[in-house]
Parts: sequence; structure tokens; C-alpha cells
Amino acid sequence: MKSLTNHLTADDVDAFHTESLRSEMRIHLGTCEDCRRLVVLDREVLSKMNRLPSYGPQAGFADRIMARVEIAVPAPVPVLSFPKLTTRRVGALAALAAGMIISVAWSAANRAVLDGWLHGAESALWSAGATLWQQTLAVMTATSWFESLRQLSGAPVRLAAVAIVVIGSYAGGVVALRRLVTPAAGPGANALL
Amino acid sequence: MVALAKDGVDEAYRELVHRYERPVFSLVFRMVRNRELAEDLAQETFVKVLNAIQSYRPEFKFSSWVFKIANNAAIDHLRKRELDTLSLEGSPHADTPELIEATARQIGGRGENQLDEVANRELGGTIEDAIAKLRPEYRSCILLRHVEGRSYEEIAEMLSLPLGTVKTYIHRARNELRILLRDVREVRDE
Repeated sequence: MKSLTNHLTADDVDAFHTESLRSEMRIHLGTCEDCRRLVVLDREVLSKMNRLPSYGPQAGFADRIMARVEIAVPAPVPVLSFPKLTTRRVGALAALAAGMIISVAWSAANRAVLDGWLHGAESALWSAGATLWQQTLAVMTATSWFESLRQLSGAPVRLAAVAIVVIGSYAGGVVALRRLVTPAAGPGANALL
Repeated sequence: MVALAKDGVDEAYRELVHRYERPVFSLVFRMVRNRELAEDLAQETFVKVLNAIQSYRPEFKFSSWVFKIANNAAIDHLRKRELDTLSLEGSPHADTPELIEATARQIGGRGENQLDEVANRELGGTIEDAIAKLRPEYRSCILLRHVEGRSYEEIAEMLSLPLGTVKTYIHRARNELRILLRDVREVRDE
């Protein structure tokens, strides 16, 4: 099947219909009989297509469909419900509430004792943390690789290279992990039918 | 309306059918050119859509989804019919003229051709006839673009085709229609 003309592109023909044709092509249309015929014929094709009637199915179409459709009622959203109150549960709740009330009352009455305990715990934690930190440092400095690491930190170029390698490995790991955890792209539910 | 249908409202289902029955039926009818068959395929389309309404993803235009399924149904049928038509020429295993004669006409009978003729009469008019002569892929693209008024992007999404392919199909289809129209006019003028 031969094309009517080779002068106009498909986009030119579209542009002609939306009156956005480039000026040089407009000038060309004024002189080229073939192209003029093509756009006139194309306009006629589009106009005929726009005027095509719509057709409808026979009466009762919707009823026939509804007879074959299962109306899906979405599953009810579970509502939070309280457990049934039994004597044992009420007793446990009452004991819990009484314990809380006694605790608050005791704390209010013995504030100085409570503050002493809190300060004691705080200082114990600090000293334990400091000891742990010192021990960790001591173990690290005693290892064989610590000296070479220290030497490495003395040369900025080497340090930069190590930093680049470390950052690169981290980024590579992140990308690999993302690929692992991202589900494979497949057709969506809409496309399955 | 789709949200109501998802909630299981019967009236919403019916409203969706009423809203899309004419465009869907028109598209399928123009694709297969057989009223009864078009009705079956359109019905099949709506049954599929409504039974799968819970899995519908709102980021995809509902009408596009319906047209996609309708078009797939029509194209599948046309492909199947094409295979059946091949069988009209006899079994590929038939190696004598008698066997070819005996195995021919087993699939696809005269009845279907008569129905096609009825459809052709109903879908009368030069442009309808010209559209019917297009390849099915071109036909669905040009009908969606110039009869249903869908954008190139929507058609690409509906038919799962690259945008460039859709544009090419539509322009080739228009080119063929122009040529057919010109030829008809020339014959008339003679």
C-alpha cells in the first residue's frame, strides 16, 4: 500500500489538525498539491470517524451480567473488643491498680530515699560505663592490627582511600540489600485479566 | 462509583455497567463485526471486571481498565478465528486432494459468514468498511483514539504497547484509511 506523500510526517499531519503546523510546512502546503490532498483527506477521515454512531447491546444486558457476577462484600474490619470481665481478671486489675496507688503514695512520702537510690544508680552506671570503655580501649590497643590502623591514620591519602573503600562497600551493600528485599516487578492486578 | 462497588453496593455495579456498556459494546462490535458475538464478549468483559473489582487499583483509570479487557477479549477472539479460518483450507496433515476436501469446512461454517454479512450491513458506510479492513491491532488503536477519544498515552497503557508503536499504528491506520477512501472515491468518479 503506497503512502500518499512523503513530504509530511505523521506529526505534521497531527499538527495541521490542531493548527500548530510549522510555518515552513504551511508554506509547503500552499505549493504541494499532493500534500494538500493528503491533509484534506485525513481531515475527512477523522471527521467521519468522529461522527460514527455508538451501538448498544440488547435490552437486559445489565441483568444478564448481574446474574453472573458475585457481589463481593469486603471483609469486616476487626473492631478492638475488650476481653470478657471475669472475677479473676477483675481481681488482677484491682491488685494492679492498688499496687500502682501504693507505689505512687510511697514515692511521694519517701522522696529523699528515692532520690538517694536514683543518684546511687546513676553513679554506678557511669562508673560501669567508664570501666567498660577503658577495658575496650585496652583490648583494642593490644590487638595486632591496631598499630597498622594507627599508622594508616597518620597518612591522609591512605586514610582517604580507606574511607572511600569503606563508603563504597557500604553503598554496595545497601544497593544489594535493596535488590534483595524489593519484590520483582510484575503485572499489577489490573493487568492480569 | 467504583468505591461503592468495592463496598459491595449492588446499584453501583449496575451503574458501572450502564455507564460503559455502549462504548465497550461499540468497540467490540467494530472489532468483531458480529452483534451476538460482540454482546457475548462485552458481557464477558463486564463479568471479569466486576468479579475482579476488589483487585482494581485506583492509580489506573477505571475506563482504561475496562477497555483493556474488552480489547483483549476481542483480539483473542480474532486470533482464534484466524486459526479457525486457516482450517477452512483443510487439515495441514491432509496430503491428497480428497483428504483436503474432506477436512476443509469443518471449522467455521457458512453460518458465521452470514452473520458477518448481517453485521457488515449494519456497520454500513465506507469508513466502517475501511476500518474493518485494517489489521486488528491498527483497528483497536484507531478506534480508541478517534472514536473513543483516548490519548496516545492512555492507549499505550491500555494495550501494553510502547507509545511510539501506538503512534505508528494509528498513523499507518490513518494512511490506509485515506488510501481506501481515495480509491473508493476514484471508483465512484469513474
